[in-house]
Amino acid sequence: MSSRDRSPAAQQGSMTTHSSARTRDRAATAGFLVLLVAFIGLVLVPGYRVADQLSADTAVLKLASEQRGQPAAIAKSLVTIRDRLGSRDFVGQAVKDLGGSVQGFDQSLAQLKLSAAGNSTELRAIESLWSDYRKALDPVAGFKGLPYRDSYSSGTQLNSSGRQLQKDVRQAIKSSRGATDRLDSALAAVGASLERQVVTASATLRKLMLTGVAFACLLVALLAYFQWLKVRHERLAVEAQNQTRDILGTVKDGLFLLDADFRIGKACSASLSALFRRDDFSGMTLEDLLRDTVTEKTLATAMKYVKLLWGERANENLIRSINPLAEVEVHFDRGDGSRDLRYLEFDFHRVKGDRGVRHILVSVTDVTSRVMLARELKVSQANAQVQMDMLLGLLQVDPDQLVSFLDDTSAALAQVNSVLKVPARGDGDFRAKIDQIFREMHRIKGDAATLGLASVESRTHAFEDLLQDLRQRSQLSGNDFLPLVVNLDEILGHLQSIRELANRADALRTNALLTAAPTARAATATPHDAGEHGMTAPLDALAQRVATDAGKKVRLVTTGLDEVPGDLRKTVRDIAIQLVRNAVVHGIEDAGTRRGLGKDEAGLLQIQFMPGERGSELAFQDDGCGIVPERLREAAVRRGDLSASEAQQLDTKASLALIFKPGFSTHDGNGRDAGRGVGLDFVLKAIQSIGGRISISTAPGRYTRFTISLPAQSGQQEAVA
Amino acid sequence: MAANAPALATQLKLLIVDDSNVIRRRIERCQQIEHLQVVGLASNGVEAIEVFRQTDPDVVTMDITMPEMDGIECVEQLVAIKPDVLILIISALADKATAVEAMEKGANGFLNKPFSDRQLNEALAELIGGA
Repeated sequence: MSSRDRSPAAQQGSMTTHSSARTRDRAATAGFLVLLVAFIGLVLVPGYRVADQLSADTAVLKLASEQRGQPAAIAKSLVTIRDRLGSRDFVGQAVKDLGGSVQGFDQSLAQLKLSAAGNSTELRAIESLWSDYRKALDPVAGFKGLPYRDSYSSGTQLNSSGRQLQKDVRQAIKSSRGATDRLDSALAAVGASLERQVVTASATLRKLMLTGVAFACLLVALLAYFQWLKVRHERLAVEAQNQTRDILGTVKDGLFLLDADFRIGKACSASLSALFRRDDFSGMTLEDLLRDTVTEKTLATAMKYVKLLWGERANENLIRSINPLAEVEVHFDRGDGSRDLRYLEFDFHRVKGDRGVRHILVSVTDVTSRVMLARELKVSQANAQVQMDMLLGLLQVDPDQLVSFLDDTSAALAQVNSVLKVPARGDGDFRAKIDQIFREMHRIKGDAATLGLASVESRTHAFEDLLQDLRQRSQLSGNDFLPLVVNLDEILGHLQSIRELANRADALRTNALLTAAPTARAATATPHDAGEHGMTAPLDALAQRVATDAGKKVRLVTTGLDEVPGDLRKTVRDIAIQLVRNAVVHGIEDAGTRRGLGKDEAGLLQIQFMPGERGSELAFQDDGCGIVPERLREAAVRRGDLSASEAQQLDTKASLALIFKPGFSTHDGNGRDAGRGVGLDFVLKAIQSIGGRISISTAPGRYTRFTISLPAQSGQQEAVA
Repeated sequence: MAANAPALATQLKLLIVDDSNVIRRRIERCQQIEHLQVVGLASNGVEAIEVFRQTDPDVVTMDITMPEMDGIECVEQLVAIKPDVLILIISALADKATAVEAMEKGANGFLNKPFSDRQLNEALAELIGGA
């Protein structure tokens, strides 16, 4: 877009083309003017002169030919006067005619002298002849008065002036004999000379006419050329205009020019209207356009940025990265009250002319999909990071434990699924279902927490939230369980991805074992390989995590867990998880309280497994606050499980049994570790399912001890609290 | 702008201003523009002006956030001393308004931190050639 993208040679080339076209146009105009001046100077003016001369010559020629008869007429007048004098007739008219002829000839001669023939020898000869002839004519022509004297005696006789006249006439007739012919031939010669001149002038005029026609043709050709140029320029201009319109109408970017006052130019691309959902751009400033779109600070910075482009100092390419409008979030009202979010990118380019920056070209692009894509990429990168973390986490988990967890959980979820499918008739059925599902989920959550699978733990916790929500409803129907199905699917999918990741982790581990040196191999082995069948370490991890979450400190000591027979391991582990969780949340006090009581800051949890011939015993003890039966009774009344009077009648043993009721809890919180009243209910069910028994002993402020008797093999004995 | 660009054949002097020793060394080591020779290093605005007066550089790379005197004020003073000096701001782009302000004071271009060797050299070449 910038002028920098065009090579200097190309720029020079186009400049040369423009200037040569301009020079050609100027030359053509100058040629036209020169031709016009030449046409006027060389053709029209001389033509006018020649024509004028020709006209004058023609008149003189006519005059000369007319005067040719004059000498003969004079001679004839003289003879008439002589004859009349002889017959004593009236001579006045003849004398008058002569005078007229003489005067006419004088005037003609004067005219001839002024004409083209004025200097000719013929005319000079005529003048000299006429001058002599005139001397003889003047006395006759100038005669006045009467030439006769009448007397009765001799009749009419010439008087003295008559006799003089007669004498003069005779003298004039004598002169006329030579002069008439000579004048006649001289006039003929003048006529011939004039005629020649007229012919020459006519020829000149004809040539000038032809030249004029040629000039006129040239001028017409030039005019035609100019007209053609004009038409061509107009056609090119229209074509360029159409192309500009097509470009502006088609281009996807919003394009417009800004002047020095930051006003938007008249020519905008059509996309601009679509981008800003408005049409009234003409006369608007950039500030007007952006005012309701960006923050005031961004607007101020944007105006300063554009001002930089009007200046000469900032390098356009080196300030692009600080363009404050590179990604602008824009909201548009859809009309139905909702808003449409778009991201626009403004790009600014200097448009330079001969005298610096002429305009700023602004291109606006809708980059919404790009921005969205970048965000999705970020999210998927974060997901990939989570997966990576999970993978690394899985590497820390004992593979056997993980596989067993995945198998158990899949089975448990299948169980949940089948429970969901069992038709239920009444509210009681629905609530029983919820309790059952709750127990399964709670166990899975405990297992996940033990293994450090936070992603499973949080999902099952969310599932428990749903169940809790259902519990609190007064009426339940089958539809209320639909969200559970959806969530169950999501958890199953997640387990599947964990299984895949576990396989990959396994492959990685195997790879590492194969390639690593024997010493390194020992290091990569999980710490759970040593002692207690890997049960102690996860339980300790769980205890520590729950304690950290609750702001407490604990210490776990186990004995004999490595002697748990294979068929009891799952049950023992499940029970231990719940008891650990329960003890840390409800039993152990926080460090400050413990210090105040003179106890060690870290609460002590003890798990002891003692195998026996007729069955084994699992003991779990914490040195926490113990269980106060009165509190349990209060909680039961608060929950509505018992009336106040019923509660009063419960003895200590019956009160303690309350903690095994489904959903019972004295804890008000709702964290992921306790507060749902599920844990001990679950423990009881687990023990009952294999025919075991559980008993509690507690001393408020000192300890709580659970003693669990487990049969050697699955028995039919009823558990007794 | 052509008047601001000294002829390419002449040796151009470069002053590097940044409060981080690592960045100064990095710029000094990585810049590979022919005819551009590092004549001075400074770690704040006050020092930069002192070194500028001594060495009379043609090109300056300038950080914005520095102790004693920040890059923006320093740019203003350097331009006052030598109006045709070419200044490239090299800074982490926390706030575009600040960067724009530096340009208003007379800086010619901006390079965002962190930068690659290629970005540095391209920016310097653009600064010298495209001025």
